[in-house]
Parts: sequence; C-alpha cells; structure tokens
Amino acid sequence: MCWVQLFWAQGAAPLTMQFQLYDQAQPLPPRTWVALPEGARARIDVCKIYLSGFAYADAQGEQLLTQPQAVLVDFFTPETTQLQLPIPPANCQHLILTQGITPALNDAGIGEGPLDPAKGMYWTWETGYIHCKIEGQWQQHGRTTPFTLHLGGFLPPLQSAQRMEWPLPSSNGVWHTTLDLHPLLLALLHQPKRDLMSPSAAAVALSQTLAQCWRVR
Amino acid sequence: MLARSLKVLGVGLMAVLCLSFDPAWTNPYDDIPASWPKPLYAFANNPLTPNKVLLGRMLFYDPILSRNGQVSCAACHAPHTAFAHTDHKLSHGIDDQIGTRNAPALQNLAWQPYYMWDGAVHHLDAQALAPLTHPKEMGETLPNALRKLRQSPKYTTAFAQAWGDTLINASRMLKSLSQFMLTLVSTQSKFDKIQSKVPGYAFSPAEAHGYALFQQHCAHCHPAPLFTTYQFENNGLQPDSLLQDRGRQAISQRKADAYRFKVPSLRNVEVTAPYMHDGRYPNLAMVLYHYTHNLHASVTLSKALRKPIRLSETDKADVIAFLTTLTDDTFLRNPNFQYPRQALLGRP
Repeated sequence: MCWVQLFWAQGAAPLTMQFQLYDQAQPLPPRTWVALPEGARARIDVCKIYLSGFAYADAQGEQLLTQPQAVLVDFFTPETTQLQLPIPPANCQHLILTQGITPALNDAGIGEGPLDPAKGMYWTWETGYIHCKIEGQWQQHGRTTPFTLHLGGFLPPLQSAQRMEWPLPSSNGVWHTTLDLHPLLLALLHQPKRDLMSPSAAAVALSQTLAQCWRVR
Repeated sequence: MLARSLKVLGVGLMAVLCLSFDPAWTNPYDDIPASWPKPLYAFANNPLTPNKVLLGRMLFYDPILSRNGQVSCAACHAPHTAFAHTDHKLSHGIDDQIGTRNAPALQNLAWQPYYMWDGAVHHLDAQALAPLTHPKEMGETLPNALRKLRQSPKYTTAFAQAWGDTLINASRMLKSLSQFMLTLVSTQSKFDKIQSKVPGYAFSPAEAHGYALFQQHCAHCHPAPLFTTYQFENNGLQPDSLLQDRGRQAISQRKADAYRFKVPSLRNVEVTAPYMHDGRYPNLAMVLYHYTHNLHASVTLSKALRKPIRLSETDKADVIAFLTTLTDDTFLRNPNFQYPRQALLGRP
C-alpha cells in the first residue's frame, strides 16, 4: 500500500494518520445509504478533501515544526487515506492543520503531485483550489436527486479553508482519524440548495460544519 | 547500417536544432527602466530560460490545446495588436461561439496582481487554464490537452529540452506558457524614450498638450509607467442588458463591486481596439466621447469620474496624439513574439 507522506526536516520515525469516513460513529462505505430525520436518506459517492499547513504546536500555540505541503485525502481511494507524520517534539500538544488549501499555497500558483490541477480540484474560471468535493445522492419526498458540494473560495469574506487544531493523542503509533459526516448531512437537510459549486456564504458555513466533523483517536 | 544510423542521428539532430532557442535571446527583465516598480511575479519559482520560453511560445501558438485543434491562445491574442483581439467586439472561440468579453492585450503581465477583466484569475501560472477549459473558448479538458502533448514527439523533445526530462504535466505546461507570456514586456515606446531622455525623442506640441491633459484627467486610473493601477473601477459604461456582466461583483459577490472591471493598461492602446471589456467602442475618439459626454451614473461609479471631464475637440485630438506615444513598435514587431514556425512546422 502506498502511503501519503509528509517529510519534515526533523523528526525521527514517522507516525501514521489513518483516515476513515463515518456516519454516526459507524464506518461509512461508498454509496451506502444513511438515514436522516424527516424520512430523508443520503449516500456519499465522492469525498475528497485537501489538508495542508501542518504544524505541531506547544501549549502556548507556538509552532515548533511546520510543513506547508498539502495532501489530498480521497476517502474512497485507500492509497490516499494514510498519512505519515514525524514524531512530534516532546513538548508538542497540538497538531495544527488546514482543511483545504492555505492561502499561501494557493497564492503560489500551480502545484504538482496532489496539487496538480489535472486532479480536478481546481477552479479555472475563478482560480483557486477547491478545498473539498463531496458528492452523492439525496432521497427525500419520494425523489432521488444528486447533490454536489464543491467547497472553495479564497477571497474574504468567502474564504472557506478552515484552520483546525487537534490535540495530540496520548500514545504514538497509528492515529485513527475519522470524518463523521452526519452533522454535515443534517445541515444539508434544511439547506435550500444542495449544489454548491462556487464560493458563497453557504459554502463557508458548510466548511465550518465539516471542520467540526473530524475526530482523532 | 552505418548510413541508416547516421540518417537517424541526422534527423534527431535536426529535431533538436529546430527546437533550439534563438541564441540572441536575452532576458527582458535585464532592461527594465529603473523607475518601474518591481514585478509581482515570483520568478524564483519559475526562472526564465530560453528553452522554456520557446516551449511556451509553441504552446501559445499551437491549436493542439483546443478540443478540435483549431483554436490557439493566439487566435484571440495577436502579436501585432499587443496580443489583443481586434475586429471583434466580443471574442470568439471554438465552433465560432461568441464569448461575453473582448480579449485584453497581453503585456507587462509580471506586474499584474490578477488577470481577466474581473480579476477572476489570481496567478499567471493558472491563467491559461481558464480559456483552455472554457466551453466557448478552447473547449478542452486539461487531461486531454496533456495526453495530446505526451503523444507528440515534437513536444516530448521540447519538454525535455526545457525541463531536463520528458515528463509532461500541468505544472510544466502552464509554467512554460507563463514563461512566454512573461517575455511580453513593453518598455520601448516613444513615451519611454522621452522619459529616459534618449536623444532625438521629444513630444510634439500636440502630444505635450495631450500629456498635460492626460495627467489632469486620466492618470488617476492610468498612471505611468504601467498606465494602470490594476484596480477595479466602474468607468461609467451603460450596463449591457443582454450581456448582464456585473464585472468584479461576480467574483467578490459584493454589491460595491457591481460593474467594476480591472483598469486596463493604456500601453499600445493605439492598436488594441475595440475598447472596453465588451469592445463597444471601435476607436479612441469614441472612448473620449464616452468620458466627456456619456457616463452612466451609478452608486459604484469611480470617484475619479464623478467630476465632469470637459475637453474640446482639439483637446481630445491632443490626448489621442499623446496616447499614440505609448505605442511600442519594438514590442509589436519583436520576432521572438511571432509564430514559431521553425519549432512548430520544422521549417523557416
């Protein structure tokens, strides 16, 4: 299995972060229907999310080890769901990272590897990386319709990348990192529009909801 | 056997020679006037090299990047008009489809903070993706464009010469295009020569009067040396009810940006007709008529235009006389900017 690797200049043996999609504390395989309130159901066909701007930080928030590169986690492609990280320095307490592409990376232009625009995660008509793509089907009121969330945007106030700060697990080894989409699907339940494909206030709000869906065990 | 090997070697050598850059190539940024601001483009991430510039020039002129192999970047950006699109109010692309704006001039791009009339593109390396993938422009997908380049022996050689190996990917393709576009530097107009005090160059009385009027009425948005601020302004055009183009507002989604478009540079403005984002004015006389008699009042109208501009017909003629001093014939006729016949066709 290929692992996505981020190499810091320092750090000894790397640690492994393993990503998995969940719904209500249960693993969520691709194209599996999940029940929602009001008789609605949803299934996820695509879930790709950029993570970037990695840094370890101490209790005061000082960043001790940084890695500006980005990875593209495609939850339904196993090769991209494991990420190697260096062992954090002893006094580190948090992993800081960005859900999406940091403004600095975006401002640098066109990248390679995970940032290759041929991966389809780039808006050409209003340039900038798409922070995440979540696509699937939605069933409600007897109708099945596709939904498309392409969440991006770099210009304030529609900047939708989300800085996150995760406490480091007490033990090293494999960090099981889950993304439980249930809160996002609940937010979509009352969303007047489930196709978001350009920067918008709704995209910012959903990005903020999505950032609350991560858990590290 | 030996003869065949020599023949193969000869063909290979010919291919290499055909793709070699002009030995007289010089970095245009070595000659930028000292009074100019520092370019914004991060050259450290994409240093200009002759072979990358040549590769970018090939890509710029080659319709291979379009879906049907008939539309190149140069289809809308012709060198003799400062890479603007003349003869059409609205630029047209693949299958003769008409777009919604007039393709702007390409010059001094390293100083631009963003691209397109509404600033939708934030980095030069990303700029070419927009026309390449637009269904009304080149109508191609990025993976398809890359596949065609990888299948082309000519481009395999050109990428190897430019980048050191035969890998062809989006980053290399786009950075090569940037390299060529970055060489489109216009600093040799009559105005520049007068500013640099080159012997034998001086404004005529009409040009001098036009320059004074320009400084008074136009330089707020079009200051030297770039003759633009690259800011977004509403210059008082009556909104086109058919095009419904709200300019920068479509990007920022702020009402305050309604009908604001990026201020274009006036360098080489003599040859870049038609004017305005939708090409509505065919000549400079009509542009000046607009600013003196035809401004559409709105809440986002540029502050610089809220005070009426009064110019006599003689004044207008003199302003136009001044504007023609911004024409850079060295730029318009630069052989290094023309169709790379040798590299694309293998013959002079």
